[in-house]
Amino acid sequence: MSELKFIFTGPPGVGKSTAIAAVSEFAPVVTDVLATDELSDIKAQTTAALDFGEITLDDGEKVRLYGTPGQRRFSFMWEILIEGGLGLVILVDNSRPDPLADLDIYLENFSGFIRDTGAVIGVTRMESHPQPDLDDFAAHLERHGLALPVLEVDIRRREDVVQLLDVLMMTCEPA
Amino acid sequence: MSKRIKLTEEGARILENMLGHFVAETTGVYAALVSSSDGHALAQWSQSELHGSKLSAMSSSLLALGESLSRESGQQACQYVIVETLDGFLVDLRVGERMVLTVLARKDGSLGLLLSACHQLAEELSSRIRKE
Ligand SMILES: Nc1nc2c(ncn2[C@@H]2O[C@H](COP(=O)(O)OP(=O)(O)O)[C@@H](O)[C@H]2O)c(=O)[nH]1
Ligand SMILES: [Mg+2]
Repeated sequence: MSELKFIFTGPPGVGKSTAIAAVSEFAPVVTDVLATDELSDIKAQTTAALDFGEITLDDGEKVRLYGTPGQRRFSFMWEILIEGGLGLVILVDNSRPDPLADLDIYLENFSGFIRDTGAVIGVTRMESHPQPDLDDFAAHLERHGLALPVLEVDIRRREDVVQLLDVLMMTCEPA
Repeated sequence: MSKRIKLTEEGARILENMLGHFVAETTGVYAALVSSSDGHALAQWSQSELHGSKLSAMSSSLLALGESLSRESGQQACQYVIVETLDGFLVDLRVGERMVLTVLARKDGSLGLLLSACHQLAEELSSRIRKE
């Protein structure tokens, strides 16, 4: 039986843990700890190791969902978590100062994994921060020679997270 | 109230001195580090070269996982995460709510004594920091 494993990554506070909690069939495994740096002005806790949840697809297949810590100092966890993964969800917070630069961090660090599998980009908080828009993201990706799907999402909504996963499945499906 | 941890130079020196005493006085121990709960290096004392910032981030992850595993297993609060290697022991434990103590030791002494020494140091660090 093939095992489906997807990974969620993106900057601290974008909503990786929230996304996994929104769709997981059980209370997800969380490893959040108290934040003690500038993030603590916005958010009390941050993920130090991983999030883990599970969702069953319509065809009965189980998908394991892992969230990474966002900060680069935890990049050793990124290496561990992509092991055996079949696709990557990159979440980008449009309310941060430079969302495209944020995106580049994850495109760069997961470049090998993205090349070997597939990725989808979910842009959050677009209703309050419409710029850059989806065309800007597409153009930016094109400059990197990448054609990845980009979706506007509210990851607090289950349907939005499911849609990201559906698109990712289609992207990763061998032709 | 600020949730940030920002050690003064003086504060960092006090911590380093405490770690230095601990390393000198505890059988087998060759390094000790204090990190923030979210993996920033705050102070360290080591008899050999160590990549403090990497060890701090990794200790934060490991302890968070240990605590998560304890909860998932229905056991009471996680006290230590212990890694035993052929050469020695790595011990992670909390210092109050916002800090982590990591101790590296060779296999010279007993694990029980090592853990109780770590526990005592964590208490001392915690009360010292509260005073700062
Ligand atoms: N207002 C608003 N809040 C959001 C939106 N998306 C996520 N959030 C909130 O942002 C926070 C994200 O936290 P978390 O999931 O821990 O982020 P992580 O660091 O990526 O795991 C949560 O409190 C969410 O409720 C959004 O579109 N609008
Ligand atoms: Mg998180």
